[in-house]
Amino acid sequence: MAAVKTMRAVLSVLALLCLLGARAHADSYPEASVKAIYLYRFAGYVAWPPEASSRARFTIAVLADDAVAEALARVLPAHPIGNRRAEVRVARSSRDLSDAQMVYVGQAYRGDLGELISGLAHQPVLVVTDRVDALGLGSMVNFVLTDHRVRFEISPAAAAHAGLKISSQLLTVAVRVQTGYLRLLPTRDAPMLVSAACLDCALSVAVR
Amino acid sequence: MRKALPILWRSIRRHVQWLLPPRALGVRHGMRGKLMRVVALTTMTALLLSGAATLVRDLSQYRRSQSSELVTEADILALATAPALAFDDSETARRTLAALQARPAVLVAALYNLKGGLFAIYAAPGQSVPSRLPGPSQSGLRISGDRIELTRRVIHNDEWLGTVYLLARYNVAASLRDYAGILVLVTAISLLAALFLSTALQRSITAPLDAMAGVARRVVGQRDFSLRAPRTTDDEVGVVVAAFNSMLDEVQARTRELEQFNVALRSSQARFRATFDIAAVGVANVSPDGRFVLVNDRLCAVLGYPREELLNNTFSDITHPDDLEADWLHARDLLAGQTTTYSMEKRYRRKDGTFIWANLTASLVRNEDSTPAYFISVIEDISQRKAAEAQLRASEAALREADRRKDVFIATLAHELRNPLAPLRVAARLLGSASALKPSELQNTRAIIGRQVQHMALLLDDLLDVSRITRGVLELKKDLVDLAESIEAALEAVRPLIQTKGHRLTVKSLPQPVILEADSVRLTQIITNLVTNAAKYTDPGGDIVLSVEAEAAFIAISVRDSGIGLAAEALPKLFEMFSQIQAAGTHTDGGLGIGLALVKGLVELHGGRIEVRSEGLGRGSEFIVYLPRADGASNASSALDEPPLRSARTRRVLLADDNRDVAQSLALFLRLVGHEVALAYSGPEALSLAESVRPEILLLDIGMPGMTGYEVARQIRRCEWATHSVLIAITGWGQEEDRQQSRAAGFDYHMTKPVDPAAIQLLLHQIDEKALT
Repeated sequence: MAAVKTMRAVLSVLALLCLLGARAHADSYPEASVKAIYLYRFAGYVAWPPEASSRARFTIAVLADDAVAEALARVLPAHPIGNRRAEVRVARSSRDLSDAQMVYVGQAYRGDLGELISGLAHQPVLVVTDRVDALGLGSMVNFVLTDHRVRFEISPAAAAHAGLKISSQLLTVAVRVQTGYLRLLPTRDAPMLVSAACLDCALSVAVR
Repeated sequence: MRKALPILWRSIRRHVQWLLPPRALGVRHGMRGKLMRVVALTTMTALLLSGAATLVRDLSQYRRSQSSELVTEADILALATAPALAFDDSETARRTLAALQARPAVLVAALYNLKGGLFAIYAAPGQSVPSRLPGPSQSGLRISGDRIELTRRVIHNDEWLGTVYLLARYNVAASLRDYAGILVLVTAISLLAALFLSTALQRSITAPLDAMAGVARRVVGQRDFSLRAPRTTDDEVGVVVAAFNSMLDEVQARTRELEQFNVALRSSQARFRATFDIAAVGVANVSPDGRFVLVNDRLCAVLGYPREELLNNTFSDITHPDDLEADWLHARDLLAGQTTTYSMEKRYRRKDGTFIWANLTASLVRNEDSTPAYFISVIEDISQRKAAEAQLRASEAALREADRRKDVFIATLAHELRNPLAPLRVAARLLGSASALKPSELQNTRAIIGRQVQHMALLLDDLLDVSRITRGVLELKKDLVDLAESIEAALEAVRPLIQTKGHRLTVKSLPQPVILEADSVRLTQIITNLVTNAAKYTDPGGDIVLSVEAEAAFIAISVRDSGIGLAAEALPKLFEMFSQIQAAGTHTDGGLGIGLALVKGLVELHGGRIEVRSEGLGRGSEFIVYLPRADGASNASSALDEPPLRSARTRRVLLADDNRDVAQSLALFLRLVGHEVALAYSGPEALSLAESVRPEILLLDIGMPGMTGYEVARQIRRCEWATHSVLIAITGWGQEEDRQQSRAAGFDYHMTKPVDPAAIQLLLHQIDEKALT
């Protein structure tokens, strides 16, 4: 079993190397490839509720960023997520986002991001965006470009609102963790209360 | 610290004294020391072995724990840095690595990305970053010197994100040092603890043994067997102690028994010694080879030896040679086991050379193996008893001798008194028929009667005188006497006898007259007796010398003869009564044997003494009477019988008797009754006469000079002509043994003097009748 795991790890490395191979310089990769890999890697630090985990496939829906979708499409077939085959779905509208476990909305999305996120509320879907102040709109993970490096900020509260649990490890590498959950609007049937554990996580991250 | 060390050393020394040789116990290797050495060695060995095992185990444990610790550290680090690697956040990775400051053992930590580029690094304070780090291609654990390094991949969600590298101190030497130190310390403490413990615990073993050893030492040293070792345990030591104690019980009991035996033995020995020493008899222990081993005081006194000298002797050394063989024979029987004891009377030679008589009672004590050990001899001095016995025997013999002499004397007396009777009787018969006698024959007959009566009177006078002297009633009629007259009177009386025997008499008298105060009759009697004696005991034709010598106070009258002499042993008894009868049956002359006793008594009555000298038998004798100077015989009748009858048959008769009166009177009678009679006065004469006469009847006197009647009879019996002759012994000795003797000599009849002529006539008549039938 360990051998299989090792083999898989080696294969994924080879794949990633291929993905990142376009850049000759060590630290210089195509932004879309980096984001695609990051999306893939996010799945390893987020825990979905059981009903979402029971689906046969892990689907990442990509809206308004074909480069990322294209990069994901190269990565995912060789990299299952949580023992499930992973696939990318290129969404053209908000309707195409249903049944996905992760939604990435690219910079090219011109629609109302807030409305889109709201439409996904109460669904166990990790929403990843690439827009300034997206966390304020209810996004859970938002890419930020800092010093020519792809970074991200996280709102664990938003994720928790959707029934997702983001690993604290992921929080350590986030450039910012959204702690202002008071600004979040309470949903109809979601209680206002946030679990203490969640709060602790957020606080500890904030302290750091 | 400096003060503490000596105290500690003393304490240790006190507790390790067992290591030193336990000389105090007198034991070369003490039980305690052995036990302690055993404990120390086993404890040390066990501790060292377990310590070594622990060390090895700890080393591998150290290595394993160090490795696994480092791996765990790397894994945690990988987990913590996986997001940083995944999302390319080297700053976060650096911060995470910096948390290793809390781990001083970790020197360097580094993260590499997939391409092998250094992603983040941490170096401990003071630790320079190594210029060259192993690349991510190297993986696994490496240990070199005091460093351990680990390379491990960072994998998340099956995705290889990078490599983590750790370099840490691997301080196994220090750890080893620590372990060794701890081990040594623990070993030392354990050893000390074990020794202290075993010192305390072994007391339960060694204390009883020490106590027992102490008791044993005291028992040996003080000979006190009442001591006991205390029994404090029930284990083997306790058993040994119990066995030791019961052994002591046994020894004590035996010792007590032995002491009791010794006391009993000593008292027994003392009793024996006291008894032995005060015993009234001599007691000795004599070895089988005869040496004296033990003698008591009494024996020393009896034998007159000092004890030491006696112990150097054997019993045969001091035994009379005549008793030695008997003693040895008895001892041999005792040694051979044939007898258990013997008793004998024997003589011992005292140290002064004299012999004592002793009664010896001896028994033999044997050893366990029945070999002879020693004789016990009890020696009783019986010299006094023996002396008394000898005295008794001597007096008894003397009495018997006196008795015998009395018998002999009475026989002699009867003989001597009857001797004159025969001629008197014959003469009386002849006088009865006086008419038939010629005047000359009548005269002769009267002379015979006179002489015989005279002789008898003399005999009786002598007898009476001796009796008077013995009873002390003889009184002397002393007067002044001329010795020459007394000698002359005596010689006149003796001369017929001297002439008969043909002796030559020489008288050597003094020229001057010698006057003595004496009873003249007794003085004559003394001289007569001495000269008669000399004549009697000298063979015919001898010399008799009578000499007189005057000395200062005494007159010595000596009568010397050339006669038969005297044996030396006869001299002392010579003057006793009846001594003349020494050789009965061979006396050649009459006499009661009282003559010399009478002479002695008479001489002593005169205040003189008598001596006798003889140079031995056959060499003559000399009697000397010493008398003080100036201050000095009889008839009989016979009764006459009726005249003799003539014999029926005339026979040739030989009559031999040295007493001429007897012979002639008897011959006269026999001729009167019609027999032819030949007369002989001595043995040889009788023998030659018998050859010519060839008599039918022989009447032989036994005591004849020249040859006894016995010898004559024996010779005649050898002659052929004498076959039918009848031999008649005529003797004064009529006792049974005399008759047997005459019968043995060949006599047919035995007649006792004095011979009754009628008895002869009757005997001849009987012989006639016997011849007829």
